[in-house]
Amino acid sequence: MTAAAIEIEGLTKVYGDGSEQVTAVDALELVVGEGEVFGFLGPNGAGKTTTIQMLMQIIFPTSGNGQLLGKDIGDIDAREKIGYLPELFQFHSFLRADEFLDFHARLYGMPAAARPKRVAEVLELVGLAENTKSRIRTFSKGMLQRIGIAQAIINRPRLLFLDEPTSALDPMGRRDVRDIILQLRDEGTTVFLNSHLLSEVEMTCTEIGILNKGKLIRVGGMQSLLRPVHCVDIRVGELPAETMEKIHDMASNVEASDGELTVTLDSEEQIPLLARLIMDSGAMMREFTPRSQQLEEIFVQSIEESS
Amino acid sequence: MKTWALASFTLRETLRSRTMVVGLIVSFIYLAMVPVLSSSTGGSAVIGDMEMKSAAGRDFLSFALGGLNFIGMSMAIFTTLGAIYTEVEKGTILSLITKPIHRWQVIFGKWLGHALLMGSYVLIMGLVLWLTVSLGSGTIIWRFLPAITLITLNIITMVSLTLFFSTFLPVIANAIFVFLLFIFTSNLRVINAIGHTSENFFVVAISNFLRLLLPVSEVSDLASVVLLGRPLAADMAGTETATFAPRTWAFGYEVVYITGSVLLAAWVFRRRDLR
Repeated sequence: MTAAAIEIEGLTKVYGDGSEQVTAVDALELVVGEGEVFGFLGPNGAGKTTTIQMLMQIIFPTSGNGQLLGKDIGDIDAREKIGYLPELFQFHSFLRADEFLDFHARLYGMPAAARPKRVAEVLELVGLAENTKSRIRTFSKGMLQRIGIAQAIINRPRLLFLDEPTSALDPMGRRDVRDIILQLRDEGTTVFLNSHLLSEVEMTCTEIGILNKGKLIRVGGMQSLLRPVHCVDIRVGELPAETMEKIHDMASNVEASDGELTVTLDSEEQIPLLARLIMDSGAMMREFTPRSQQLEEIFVQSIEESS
Repeated sequence: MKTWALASFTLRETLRSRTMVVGLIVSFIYLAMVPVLSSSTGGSAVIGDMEMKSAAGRDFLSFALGGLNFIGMSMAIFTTLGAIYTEVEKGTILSLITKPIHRWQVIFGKWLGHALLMGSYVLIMGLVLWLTVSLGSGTIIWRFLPAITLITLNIITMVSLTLFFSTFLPVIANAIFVFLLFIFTSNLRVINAIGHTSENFFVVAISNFLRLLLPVSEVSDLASVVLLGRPLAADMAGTETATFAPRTWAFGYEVVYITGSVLLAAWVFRRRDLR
């Protein structure tokens, strides 16, 4: 087990008083190792942003505590190595891109001599090198998101919190952000990614946690969660009752509707046997697609189970 | 260094604001109109009159200083109203407070930026007035320098108080509250005069005590006393009473008041949820 970049113990946030109390985050326990790219998933209102805001001390927990890079939440020294991109990031838009980043580099305590080079590097990295002297108020949504990421990584963070970093981006922009995350991962940066885009999480994250109604309902490595479950999607004409009976016997689960079947098998070896069974029945088979379980299915299943 | 980064950023941001631009235009118009206004209200000084006597010059400067004090305080209030609250509301504060800086540094940086800007504004405007009158009359009125220092302190007081309220009050509420406080403390002279006339010394004592809520009116009077030997406002209102003369220690109290406002702002902001 690598050293922990994030350790959360019993973190709780309750809003309101008396009968109007709402528990946004409920006794959250979580450990994220250094160098991991952690995908933090959950439906709207699950408490994801609240969790990040508590870790960044934008809001204060009702109870519980946590450590970032081995230091208590809010520790100023630790923050020098932490980057953060808030959801729907708002900017001081009268600044030019280079001035904006220079200002944030100053807040990180970066020496004056080192700032111009780092600002240019980061602008290049996020694809805004040509807009160095442009005022931020002239930027498109996608460009704003990029400059937001730039201010979050200007300090070469060891731990980076990204709250919905691709929500305003087009597919090309999303790919660029994905590449940045992967590059940071390769450099050993721990990334805590809060995103609704499951496909993106699937492509970039090494670990995921699923939050629902303030509670962490599932956590683990991406590889172990996305275990192969041998599903087969089939489009076929009407099958004889006898064949359907045999399919039910060999499968652990069968879902059928309007000539479409989704069959879940216990082992990979059963896939050709299933194909043979359908072919032998004489029914016309139009599609036979084996697949592994997607993150979306795990997500939906987890949420449904916990609800 | 980080606090200074925030201060210089605040200064730049405020300088670009519409409020500041409008304030500067009003100030220049006022400066241009001061000779006319001064003569129409009984002042005998006219810029460029080589025979202006020192006393007339002081009268003129005192009148001009009163206006500058009011315009400066209004500008200080309007430019600082949303210093914290608007940043929280817009969400721009998030990129600041999540950096390796303490929350008190955000408050202090904001305060420093606003105080430097507004303080410089009043000092420069005051010094322009002083030089113009000095050159015009051929007499250097040294008493003006401590007077303009007191007025600058007043402006910084308004910055500090408004910044404090902006840590928890929305812009409109902040404006209403600060202006009401200003109007209330500016009119305590009337209450004091009523107490004095009716020989109700409780009212006299209370009106004196309540001046501590916002010492700018008293310090304005002190500036006039330094410059003219009498409080200008009392002169104009005709309500001068011995019991309401500005207290010399009001200057020191105002410094404490500024420090207290900034510290209180930092304390309120220290544990506030910013969502």
